[in-house]
Amino acid sequence: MQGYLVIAGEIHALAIHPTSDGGYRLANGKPITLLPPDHETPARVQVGEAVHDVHIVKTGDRIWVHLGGRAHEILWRGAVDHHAGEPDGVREGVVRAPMPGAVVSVLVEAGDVVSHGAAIMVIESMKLETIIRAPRDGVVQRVNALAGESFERDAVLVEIGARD
Amino acid sequence: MSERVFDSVLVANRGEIAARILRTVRGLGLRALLVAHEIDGRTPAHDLADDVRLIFGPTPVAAFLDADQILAAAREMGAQAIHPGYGFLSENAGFARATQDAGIVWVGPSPETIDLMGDKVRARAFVGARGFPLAPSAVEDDAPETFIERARALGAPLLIKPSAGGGGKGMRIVTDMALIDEELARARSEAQRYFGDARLFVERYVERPRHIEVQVLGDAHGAVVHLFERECSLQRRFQKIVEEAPSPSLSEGERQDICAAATGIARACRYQGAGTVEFIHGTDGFYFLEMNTRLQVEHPVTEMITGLDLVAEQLRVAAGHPLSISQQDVRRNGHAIEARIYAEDPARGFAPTTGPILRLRPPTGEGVRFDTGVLEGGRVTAAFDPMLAKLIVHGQGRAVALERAKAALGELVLLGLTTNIAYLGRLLADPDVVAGRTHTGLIAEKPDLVIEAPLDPESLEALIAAAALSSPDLRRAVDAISGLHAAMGAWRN
Repeated sequence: MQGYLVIAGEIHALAIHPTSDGGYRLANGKPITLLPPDHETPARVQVGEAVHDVHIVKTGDRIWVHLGGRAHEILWRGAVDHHAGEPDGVREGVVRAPMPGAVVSVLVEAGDVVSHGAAIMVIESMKLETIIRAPRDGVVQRVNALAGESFERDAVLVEIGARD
Repeated sequence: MSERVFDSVLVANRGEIAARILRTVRGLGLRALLVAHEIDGRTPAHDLADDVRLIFGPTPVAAFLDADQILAAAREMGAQAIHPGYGFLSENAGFARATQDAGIVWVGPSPETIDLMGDKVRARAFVGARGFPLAPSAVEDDAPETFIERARALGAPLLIKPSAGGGGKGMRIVTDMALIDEELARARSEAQRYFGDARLFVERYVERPRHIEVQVLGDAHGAVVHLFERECSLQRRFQKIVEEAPSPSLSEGERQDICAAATGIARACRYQGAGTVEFIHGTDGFYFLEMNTRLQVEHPVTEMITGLDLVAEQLRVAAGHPLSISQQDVRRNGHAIEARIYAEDPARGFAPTTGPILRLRPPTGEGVRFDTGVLEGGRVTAAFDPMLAKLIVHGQGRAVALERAKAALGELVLLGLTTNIAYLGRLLADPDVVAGRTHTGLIAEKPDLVIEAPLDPESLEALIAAAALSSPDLRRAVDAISGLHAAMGAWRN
């Protein structure tokens, strides 16, 4: 796992890749570019063929984006230092708290079979309810937090192992 | 009445209304003066003022309620008139009197009128005695020994109100007359607890009521005109958030009746300046609710449909001049809607929010007016009411005005704190609102309107791209960790 963006109460991987020509693309391969604003026009973000007018301002770990006729508050959590020392790949089933908060509800228990993207927990953090989703297919090995409990950033909330 | 000429006006207020008043003051070639609290920083009103004095107090609100301090500032700046705006000291008869005693022109009705109409029970008695419609009621004080009998005679549904009350406290609705004794006992106990006064009155409860108010203007020469009605039924926590003119619910006959009643009430109290007569409108008619002896937040919808400048009329009247128009000159043109932009979080019970105004881009276009009290670079604190701005749109018909309002809400860029902008857009798209089936309980009946529509995949991709590419920090992070991606994949693409 790398960085996270929390958008409208859901966590999304910051899955952006550099391309050989010095640009960036999404994980699904679509090239993305950001055209800066000039005198009269706002900034424009291009994803594949689609172009959107945007206003973007960043303050601390919050990014405000006006897109599609409404404002979006996005929380950014960098994760470069999160897993230093952990062997690549081995810990991919560890679900860590992207920010401090409290558990609203736990949707799985040890032994449950889950697939990638399944909702496994709802947390509340920074005034937002956020759904935590399974980062991989597998079996829930351990749930480390109960509903109502609070946790710190990076706390291991759920561990998911490979299916036998 | 002699003319009271002045060439400077102090606005004893803040936010959008201070800017709105100063715009007219400047437009008339008068000196524009302002008192301000430092917590507001620079505001649109500062940019319009020729002179600004800071005022202080134990709290920022207390500074704007400090009549002595404001009058001292007025004298220092050489102010010859004071416009109080709305809220704060605007309906304080003592302040109006003190202003006049200081030889400064008060832009508002006389202190006697404020005293009369500002007191809810006195105003009700005054209006009722002159034959204007009041909700059928029984007032305990009139004859305490027959109160319960008179209350029973009204029939259900009833609303029990504390005589000394306000703000909805101690009010109880009785739908089953078998329970009236019990409900009266509870209301009495609450009234005693909240207001230290157990006296009650009971009135017919209007179910699914509409809030309709009529703008009136009067001058020192006895002229009184109405500027038609506004409907303000969309309310949360007893506060209006959307207002429109004309009302979508009144027939032409009802409009004439309600406007005639308002004009009659204003004439009866020899009203001078701008005022609003508020009514509750139900299926079986309309009843006088109260009179506001000041300019109101939602006055721009009236300006949009009549083409008149209400502040300019207030200043004319304060100077002793006659109104610029007679009733026959007042024409209604098209439909106007106002949406109040609040720093609040609809998803958290409309709780106030605070934060910086990092980006503010007002909407533009035909029929769009934006009255703002904040500037980009400013900060919204918890010190004052969280209303930031008002969006007002005008169109030839209600449908056009609604479409323009929704488009303008989408165009309005206000970033840095949570606001009700998207909520207002959903409210204006609600089928009952679109059809004009509004009532004061509508917002409470539709809690799902606070829920944001889910993001479509294309917008989500664009947001991720915008967030990632807009920040050097994020791009650096992406570059640094990109080697891990192949092994880990994403939680969600």
